Parts: sequence; C-alpha cells; structure tokens
Amino acid sequence: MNSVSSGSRSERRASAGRLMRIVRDPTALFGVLVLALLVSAALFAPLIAPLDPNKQDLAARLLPPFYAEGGSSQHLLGTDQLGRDVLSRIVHGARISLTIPLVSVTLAGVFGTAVGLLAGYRGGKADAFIMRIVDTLFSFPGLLLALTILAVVGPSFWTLAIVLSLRIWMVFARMTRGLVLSAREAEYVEAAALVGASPVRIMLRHIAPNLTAPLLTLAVLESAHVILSEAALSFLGLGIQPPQTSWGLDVAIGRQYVFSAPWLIIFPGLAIAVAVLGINLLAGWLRVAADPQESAKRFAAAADAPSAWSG
Amino acid sequence: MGRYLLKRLSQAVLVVISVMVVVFVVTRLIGDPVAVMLPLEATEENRALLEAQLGLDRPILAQLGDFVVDAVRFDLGDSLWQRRPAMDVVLERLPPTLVLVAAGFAFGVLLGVVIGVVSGMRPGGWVDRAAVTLGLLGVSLPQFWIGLVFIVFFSVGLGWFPTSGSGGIEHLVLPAVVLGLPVVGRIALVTRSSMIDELNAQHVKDATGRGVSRTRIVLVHAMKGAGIATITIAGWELIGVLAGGAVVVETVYAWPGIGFTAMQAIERHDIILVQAVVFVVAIMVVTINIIVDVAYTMLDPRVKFDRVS
Repeated sequence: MNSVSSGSRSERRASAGRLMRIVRDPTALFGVLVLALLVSAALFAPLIAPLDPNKQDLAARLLPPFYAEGGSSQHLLGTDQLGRDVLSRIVHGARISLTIPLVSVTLAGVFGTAVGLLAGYRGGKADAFIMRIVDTLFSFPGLLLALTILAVVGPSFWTLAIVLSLRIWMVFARMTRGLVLSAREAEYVEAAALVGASPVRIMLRHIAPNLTAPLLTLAVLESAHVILSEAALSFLGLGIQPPQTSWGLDVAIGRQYVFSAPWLIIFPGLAIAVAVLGINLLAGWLRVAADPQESAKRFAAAADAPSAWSG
Repeated sequence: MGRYLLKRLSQAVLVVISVMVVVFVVTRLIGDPVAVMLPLEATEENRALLEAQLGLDRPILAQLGDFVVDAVRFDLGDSLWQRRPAMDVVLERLPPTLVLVAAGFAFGVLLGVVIGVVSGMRPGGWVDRAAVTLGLLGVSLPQFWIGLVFIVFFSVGLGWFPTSGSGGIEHLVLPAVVLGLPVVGRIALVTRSSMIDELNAQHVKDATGRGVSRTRIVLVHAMKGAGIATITIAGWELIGVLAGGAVVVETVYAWPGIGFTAMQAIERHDIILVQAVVFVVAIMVVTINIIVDVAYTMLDPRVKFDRVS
C-alpha cells in the first residue's frame, strides 16, 4: 500500500501485465464479469428488461418464478403485489443502485483527496486541525446519524448521495495524507526539492503518481460499502423513494409478503449481494496486484480496511 | 496513564457535543422540525403552540446553547410519541440492544478468530479457500436481506425459531447471528492476514528452530502479534454493530431495542426521541473507542501513551 515509486515507464508496462493477470485469476475475473453484466444491465435497462418495471397488471399479481408451480416464462422471476415484473424491476434497479455509489464515491473521493493533500503537504497546524476533524468524524455513529439526517431533510436521490459521501470522505482524506507523508520522505522527492522544483511540480510529477493506485482501490472498496448502505437505507424507507426503483427498496416492498411470496425479497437481495461480492473481489485483486507483498496472500481480499462503516 | 485517560475523556466529550451540534444544525437549520412533527392538517395556532413549547421561537444561538447544556445534563426533552422524557424511553429500551449486540459481537469475534487462525495456518489449502469465501460472503451480503432469508428458511420453512419479537433465547439466535455475520467475515480476513505475517516473522521462525511445538507457536507466538490487529478491527466492528447493524437487524426482527425505537420514532416524526437515541449511541461509541485505545496501548509495548493522540 505504501510502496513508493515515481510512476515510470516500467510501471506502465507492469500495469499492462496486470491486465493479463486478471484473466488468469478466476476470482478477479468472476468479479469483473459480474460487474460488467450489472453495468450493462444499468446502461441498457430498457433494451434488456422484458417489461416496463412500473407497469401494473392486477390480473397477474404475485406470480411465482418460472421454476415454481404456477410460474411462467413470461415473468421469469415472478411478479409483485401489483403484478409488476420482478426481473424488469431488478434490471432497472441496477441504474440507481449503481449510480448512487458512483456519485457518492466521486464526491467523497474528490473532496477527501483534496483535504488529504492539503493536510499532508502543508503539515503543521493545518494538518493537526484537519486531522482532528477527520478523527472526530470517524467517531460519529454512522448509519444512525445518516438515518436522522435523511428523516429530517427528506430522502431523495441527491440527499442520499450527499449523506453517503459525507460518511466516507474522511477515509480518502486519511489515506491521501498518509501517502503524501510517506512519499514526501522519499529520496527522489527530496532531490527534486533540492534542485529547485516548485511545490506544484513536485506534487503533480512526483507525489501524485503514488496516490492513484491505492486511491482507486479504495474507491472501488468504498463503492461496495455505499451500495450496502444505500440498500439498507432504502430498505428502512429513508433512501430511494417510489416510483424510482432500487434493489433495497424492492426488498422493503417484498417484506410484507415474506411468507407468501419470498421471491420478492430473494432476487433483489441477490442482486445486491452479487454486486457487492463482485466489487469486493475486484478490490481485493487490485490491492494484491498493486502490492507484491500481498501477492503471497493472494486470496486475502479487500474487506479488512477499517472504515467509518457498517450496515 | 491518568493524564492520558483524562485527555481521551475530554476528547470524547467533545466528540459527543459535536455530534449533537450536527444533529441540531440539521434539524433546526436545514430541516423544519415543527413541519416534520405536526400532522398535515395542523393550523397556524398548532404550529405556534408547538414552537413555543419546544422553545423554537427564541434566537437560534440561545437554542443551541440550551440544547447542548441540556444534553450534557442528559435532558433531551419529552418524547412527542410517548409523552415522557425521551431519555427514559431510551434507557428502558437499552438492555435488549445490549443483549443483542453482546451476543452478535461475541459470535462474530469468536467464529471470526477461529476461522482466521485455522485458515492462516495453511494459506492456499482448501480450508483456507473455503474460509476466505465465507469471509467474503459475510462482508458482501446485505444484513437486512440475510435476516429476511433466515426468517423464510429457518422460521417459516423449518420452524426452528420465531420470526420476530423477543422473549427466550430462541428469539435471540437469528438476530444475533445476522448481526454477527459481517463481523465474522472481517475478523476472519484480518486475523488470517496477520496470522500469515506472524508465522513468517523472524521471532516465530526462531521459536520453530528452538523446537517449540506447532500448537504453541500458533496459539502463543503468532496469536500475540495477530491479536493486536484483531483487537483494533474488533473495536471498529463493535461500533459498526452498535451504530448501524443493530438498527437494521432490530427493525427486521422487531427486536425491542433502541435501534427499533429509533425507526419507530422516525415513523412517528418524533425527532426528540431520535435525538436521544443518537446521543446515547454517540456516548457508547466514544466509550468503546477509549477502551480499544487503552487495550491497544497495553498490548503493544511499542505504543506509548503520550504518542497516541
């Protein structure tokens, strides 16, 4: 994680080699394929989904999936209490369930990295002040506070995305600061400063290349957390609101029929699980690929990075 | 040690106060608490009455000052839903949460450490692969979903456990297991990782050279080093379980703790009761942080009290 390099040509060649390696690593390949599938589902939802996700058909209420008695190939994964097609809702749900992590992680990543750069490069009082705030935020009761804020402000796509990014920007700030501090002490950075390179040049040319790989890995990992949080908040009724669809929201709707129509919760939940698993596999592989020491452990996947997080 | 604890305690108080200031700013400045609390058909007079009752007609800084001072005195105001002090409601609902969190956390840490140690002993073997897969599933499956799937499978299908509510130990099993599953996953992965590091460390190799038995090496030499990483993560996990997992799991199983209470309060627009839950959870979170820091410092002689800030 703290391997310091100057981002040279040899590293670029190494990253091309890494791309080849992903094909040979079955778990990472599985993660990438799953994600590719879900992302294309989100992008081309109207083309892929067999039916309109909001089209009600009261004559076809609570139909079971194709494999069960009474199921049909017309509704592969069955229908909900309003006769809406479960498979089509999952395909369309991918749009919001994958956009939220994209937006939240981008917001949090940009802001957190900027704050971390400032703290790490300035050092001194600015650093102490910023890190005190970051430490305080790490002690906040995460999901509960998010629930409270959403209950008061009112849940919507944007409030949800912003609240979720407020919960994770500190993770990026802390990591960026640590990376900047260790990179600053590297000999080539000191050498660059000695020959009179400007701070901006040192920052962009010599320090920034060390940040990209770990920060990207972190972003991938955090998007798994955001998907789980969005799902949990939508399940609790404080996330995505109808008529928009999200996997967590669909599980919440299906909850009332848990005894009579369990497929209403099983399939949307499975979509969440598969998405998060795919991301975790990819994040684990990215970390291992970026750090030769980790390669020995290979399978040791992502999830041990402490985060402001759970749920 | 005394000075260190005092410093940590004052920081903890600051954290709790800043949590309450954030809650205050969000509820009073961004949101409209009166509009949230009142029914849709409320008149202007109802509104003015409630504002006066809550002291919302006074200057905002005076309100903030009173809010913080009252919170420090453990007075969060009366719950609108239950019409009695919100703190009483929270303290009444706290024991079920503590029981659930203790059971779920203990299950998660114990199983996680066992899986982590066993799989770390032979990385790459089939036990290891199974354990890593299990760990990954633990951190990837949404808790509320696992909770519902368990109800479908174990309660409805097999009839082994009640679907929800509280009572005997049979009510505790499913929620505690669901609450502990992500903990099992993360603790197992972390313990495994540091176990592999420790078993490759020089002091462990030296011990092997001296002829110390394999069991002793794993249980004494490697565990000592791996334990520090595990304790740090365990602290994080406990906080996550309290401030996140408990709300979700209690809601799924209608477990009468503070998380379920918070959701009921949100449904009934009882902001004051929600604030009281946030307050109590914030206090527990900072307390856990202090305990973890102290445990960490005691276990690892390289960390000096004055160096930890």
